[in-house]
Amino acid sequence: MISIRHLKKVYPNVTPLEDVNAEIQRGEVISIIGPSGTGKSTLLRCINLLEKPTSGEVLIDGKSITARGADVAALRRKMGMVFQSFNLFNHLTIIENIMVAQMDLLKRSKNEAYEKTMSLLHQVGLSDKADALPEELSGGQKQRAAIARTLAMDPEIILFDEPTSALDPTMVMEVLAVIRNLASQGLTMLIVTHEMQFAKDLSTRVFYMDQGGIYEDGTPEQIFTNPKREKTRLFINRLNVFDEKITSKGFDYIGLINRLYLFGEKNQVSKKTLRNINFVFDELVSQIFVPRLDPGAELLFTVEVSDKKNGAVVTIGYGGAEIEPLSFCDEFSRELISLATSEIRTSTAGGKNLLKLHVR
Amino acid sequence: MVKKGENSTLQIRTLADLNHPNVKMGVPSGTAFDLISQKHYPQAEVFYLNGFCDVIPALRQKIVDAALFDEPVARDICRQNRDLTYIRENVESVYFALGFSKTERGVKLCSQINEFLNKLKENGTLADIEKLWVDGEESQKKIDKTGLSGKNGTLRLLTPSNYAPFTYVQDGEVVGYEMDLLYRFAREYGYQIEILVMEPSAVISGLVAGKGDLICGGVSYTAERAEKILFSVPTYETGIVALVRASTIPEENGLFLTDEKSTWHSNLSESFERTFVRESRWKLVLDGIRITIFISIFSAIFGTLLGFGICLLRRSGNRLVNIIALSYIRVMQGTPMIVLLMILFYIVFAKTGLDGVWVAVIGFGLNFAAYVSEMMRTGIESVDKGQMEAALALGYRKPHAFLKIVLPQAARHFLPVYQGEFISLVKMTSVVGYIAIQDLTKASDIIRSRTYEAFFPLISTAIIYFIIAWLLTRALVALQDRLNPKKRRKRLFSK
Repeated sequence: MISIRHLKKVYPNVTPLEDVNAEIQRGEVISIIGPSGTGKSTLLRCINLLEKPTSGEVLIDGKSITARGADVAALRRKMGMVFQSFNLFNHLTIIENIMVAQMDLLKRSKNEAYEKTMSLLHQVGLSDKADALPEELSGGQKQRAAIARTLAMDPEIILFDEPTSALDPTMVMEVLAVIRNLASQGLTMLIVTHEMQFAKDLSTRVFYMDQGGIYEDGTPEQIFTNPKREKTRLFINRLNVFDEKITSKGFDYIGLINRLYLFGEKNQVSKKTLRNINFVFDELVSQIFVPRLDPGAELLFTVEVSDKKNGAVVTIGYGGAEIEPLSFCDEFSRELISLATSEIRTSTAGGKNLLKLHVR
Repeated sequence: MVKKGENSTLQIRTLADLNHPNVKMGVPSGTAFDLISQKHYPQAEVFYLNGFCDVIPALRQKIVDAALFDEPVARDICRQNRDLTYIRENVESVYFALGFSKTERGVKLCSQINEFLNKLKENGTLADIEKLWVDGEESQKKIDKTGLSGKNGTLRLLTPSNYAPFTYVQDGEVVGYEMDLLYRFAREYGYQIEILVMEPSAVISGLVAGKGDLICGGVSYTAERAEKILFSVPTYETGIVALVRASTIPEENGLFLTDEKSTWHSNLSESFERTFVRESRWKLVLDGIRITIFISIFSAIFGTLLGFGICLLRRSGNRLVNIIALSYIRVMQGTPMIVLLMILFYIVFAKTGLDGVWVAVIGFGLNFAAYVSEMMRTGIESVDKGQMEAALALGYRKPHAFLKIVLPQAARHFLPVYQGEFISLVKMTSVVGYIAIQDLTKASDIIRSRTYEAFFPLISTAIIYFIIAWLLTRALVALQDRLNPKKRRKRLFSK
């Protein structure tokens, strides 16, 4: 269905794609994951030529879209694209957004386009928003409307470019539900995403991108639980790790706690465990370690979670002389910490003292 | 300290009193009167005024204390304005003549005219014609314009239209003493006449630039002018006199003609009658309105299309093309409109014979384009790039996507600014009189040159401009409403 051969994209300062090769079959649902800046979106945008590749070739059903004189517009009609920022036409109502290209490009009559649009709006749960303007919708609703607009063109392929990254966490699920529904209909889909759970559940294949290309290509099973190559393994492991460096007494407490909760939400950490981690941070890091932080020294705070076990492992790393933090706490705090944790261990490695707590 | 404008005690008894630093001498620009004033009254301060009709209100409002006029014109003014008079002495003798370009055709025409005028002089007809136009009843002043065969070609005549009794507008037509002579000449020598009305200051330069074959309208002979153009034998010999306020001069020294009602204490309905009704002057105004609207609309259309083109060049991404487009914009923004118009009329299109109205459309269009292209560019740039990408991803081709998706959104951003620029355009068209077009402002000038009244024609002109601008703006507002999705939706639902 899609063949990508020696695709290369060079920008003046960076080269996100060095040499990308892939064969994608009809009906495959492929998640593209990887650290930011590794060309995931660029790859997607090269496939429908929103970015012009520096060299290499992309074939859609055997027809080259990158060749000179290719009918790019016709090939693009086979591929829908869903953008991170929705890109609904701001001057048109939702129903007009979905009808306009059908009438202009597929030459459907107004009635046909209307019927199609209403059934799609019904499918994505927006039938009552037909006459709303994009600015009157929430982010999740906008993205669902944008998906309906793409579907209206009856594409064979849909490219999703981080469809939920611009959404509030509360709206992610409604959009993912719509995409999940599509995956079961046999459409060929490429999804750039940071929603790992979703990628794991939904895809038939996963591309891990790094070092200017598809670094590892495999089933979700292989990539998420048994990565073969080193960078993939590091990336997958880091997904389960929250780590922060504190370098001054005036660090951004609120921002850090906020990131901690987002991390917890993403990794489905229980509310109880999150509260306990927060408590440990407040009592030990904020109360004891930070006030003793020397200028120029740094303090490490990491949280690791694993799918299989409940709870989390919190590690506090600090330089200088080893201290016994619990001895600085009052009795009440000490009691609470022992309730929140199941095990506390200290160790020293490479001039750093580590305090490891298993949080319940 | 007494300011110059407040010297109410100023007494002008004789011409000699004019040579005083306190005297402000009004002079219409483009005439020879400034030189004459400096020659005879070097101490007086010269004030250049725009055209003959502005001199009268300037005298009344004490902006100037005296103004030099040809005697018959001064006589016409005094006849209609009891508060103005002139000193019964000639500053200088002068004669009027017709002017021709120094070309083969000009020389030939000039000798034919000389032959004709000498004949009229000998048989006494010239004196009769002169008497009719200088001292006759207005109702008797008619020109027989029939019977022009045109078998020997057409005379392209450049003339001002505000210099009664030599050349002025009556019932919407240019008439006057010299016009009468020219029509008689054309009939006898087999010519047709084509009249191009110009500002007095532009008549001679228009002739030199090749806009016409001959000029008339109280063109006095001076040695400097004779270097550039050819003069016929005199059509009228007279003197230059000084027009002053009646209050500054002892009665026995001034000329008072009061055969017509004073216009000084007239009421509104009289003013209205004089400005619009008498001699069917409303026709002049109506024609002027038509021209003003025509130029405004067509230059807006031309300017918008051109501006769109320039905007596309600016966005082309090619450095050289961008620099060319930007230079165009800077040059246009830096050139005064009136200068641009005159360059187009007297230089670029001088020899093409292109109608002045179209020259104006081109001129205003070129200027408008510079502003439109910049506002369009910022409008287009304010539309998120994702809008274009989404359209392309759906399968639109780029130009189609631009027209259908980007432009309507950009238009919503730039239309309010566009509307403001358009109104300035409408008002700016009031300078087209400089290139011999009779628009609304020019029509009001012509009327003022006949009624010697400033207030009513000027205020009515301002009101008419306001109404024109308002009506044209309504059309733009309607377009904006169409582009506003909220209002559009409301309309759809109310159907």
